[in-house]
Amino acid sequence: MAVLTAVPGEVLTATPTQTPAGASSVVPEATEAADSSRQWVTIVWDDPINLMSYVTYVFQTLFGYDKQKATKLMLDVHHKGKAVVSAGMRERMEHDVARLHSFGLWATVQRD
Amino acid sequence: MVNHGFRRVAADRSSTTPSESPAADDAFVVVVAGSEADAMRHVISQVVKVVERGSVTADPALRRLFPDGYTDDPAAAAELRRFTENALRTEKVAALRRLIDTIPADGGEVVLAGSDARAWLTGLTDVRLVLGTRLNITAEADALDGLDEGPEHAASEESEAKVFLLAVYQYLTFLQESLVQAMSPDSD
Repeated sequence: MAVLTAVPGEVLTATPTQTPAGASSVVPEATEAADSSRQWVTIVWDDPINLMSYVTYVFQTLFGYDKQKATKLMLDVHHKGKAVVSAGMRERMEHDVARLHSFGLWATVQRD
Repeated sequence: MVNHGFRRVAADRSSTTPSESPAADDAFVVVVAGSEADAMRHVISQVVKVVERGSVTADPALRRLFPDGYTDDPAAAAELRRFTENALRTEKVAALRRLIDTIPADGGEVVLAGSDARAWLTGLTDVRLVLGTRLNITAEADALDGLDEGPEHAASEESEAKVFLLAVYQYLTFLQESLVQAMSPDSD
């Protein structure tokens, strides 16, 4: 996010080059479901333009997270380059991605 | 006099320093100078054209506004895009047009009530994303890349355009930060 550690400008012109080594390397830190078989997750990727305050606001608005949880997720995106923001059925994740894109965040769906 | 950006005005107008979370009928107000209003209208109008008619495959700025929904499955990404991109484009264009319509012609007070606040929030984001992509902004340097490269006369014209766009980008960043703060609930 703006004012934070660098993300190469070219990253914005291409699909994310960071890919998990395998499904098991994605840790669903924000997931609520206990049974994670055949589960999908929504990932938000860091970018150098969106404001930290704005990203936090979007997480609160879209997912109903309280400010503390939304801030923690935002900091995960910032520090780790990406974070899981929701988990569940595939169609739900695609819906979440579309909503995140309407707010200008960069989000993708993948298997848990 | 210092402009602190957007401030929240409680609906009953009895207090301009509200201590509680924003109410649904609160308004958000900022004063913009005539030159700022002109610059914003000019730049946002250009962004509207890009978002309305541009090609996602050909334009990195549009690839940022309408990213692939899957990194590892092009077919799924294409399918999701087919279902969502048109509505997303329409929604973004509408917000940008609302932004332009709410900027006073010769500067002055911008008053955002109701859904206009959300239109500015997402509209400012999209304008900054387009400008930021064009300017190749990275977090470590808001400075401009390649200003001193290329033929002298071309670099100078291009440099002036970039300096202008960067100034607009920074101004919009200031506006957006203040709007987010004004719209954010104070309590956890």
